[in-house]
Amino acid sequence: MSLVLAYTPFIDAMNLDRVWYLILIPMCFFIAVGYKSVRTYDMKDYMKQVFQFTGMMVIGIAALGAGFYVLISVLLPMFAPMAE
Amino acid sequence: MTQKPGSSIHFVAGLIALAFPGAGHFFVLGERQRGFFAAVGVLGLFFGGLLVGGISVVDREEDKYWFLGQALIGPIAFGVNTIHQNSYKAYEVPPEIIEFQKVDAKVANSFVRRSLHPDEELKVVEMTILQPTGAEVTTRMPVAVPAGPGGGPPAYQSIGRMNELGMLSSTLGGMLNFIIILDALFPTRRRKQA
Repeated sequence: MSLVLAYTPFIDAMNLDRVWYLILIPMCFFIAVGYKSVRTYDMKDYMKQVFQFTGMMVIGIAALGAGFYVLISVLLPMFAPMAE
Repeated sequence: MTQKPGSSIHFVAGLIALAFPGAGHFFVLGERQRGFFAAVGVLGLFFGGLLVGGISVVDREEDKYWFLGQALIGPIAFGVNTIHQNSYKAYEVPPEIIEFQKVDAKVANSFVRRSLHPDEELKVVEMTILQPTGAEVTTRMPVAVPAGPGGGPPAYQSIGRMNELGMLSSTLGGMLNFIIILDALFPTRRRKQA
């Protein structure tokens, strides 16, 4: 409780250990905002491209995470079981 | 001021972009919208990292390789690092030297500045440093001392995932700003999408 009371934004860390993976979404959004600001030729399409790029990154990284989970937790134990 | 026809490199825009994210596009190239969104993206990542991991994610002394990426943000990253080093970290000094308040320069140079532990607090002491020439220099030195009742460090050092994610976010901001600086330097290289 004392740690919560002592929390100062930007000085102390946030307590997001249980939902740390959700930080992926704002991180991808800000990357898209910055990157598309200099890569979009016509700024009329800017917001559309930002949301498309954010979605691509979030889905891509989530798919990579799921793929590695399957590899490590399902496939590797199947092909190289631990000695009992 | 806009890009001159035929020129391919814009040093002024590059320098201004290095001073503040997006300022090269906003003030020099006249591309206000691009400059604004570039600043939002870079500063969102940098300050988002600080919000998640606290000020300890920007540390030139203890995380120097991460700081190489963060430094690409420009003076803001150096300013945050300076505040962190001077206001939230302290020297590890033996208690007898803190009490005596006088130390040889060679010994003083061996003191390590570090983040404070949860059971410590920061105390600023007047320390007289004896120079090899015999001269005495008095300086105010932040030192780590055991915390008294109700005391504690000015900031808690973040650890684990929050520290890693905060550091990653702020470093990504620096790398993104590098792309934006390059775009301000070479504005004619933006290609129309097929």
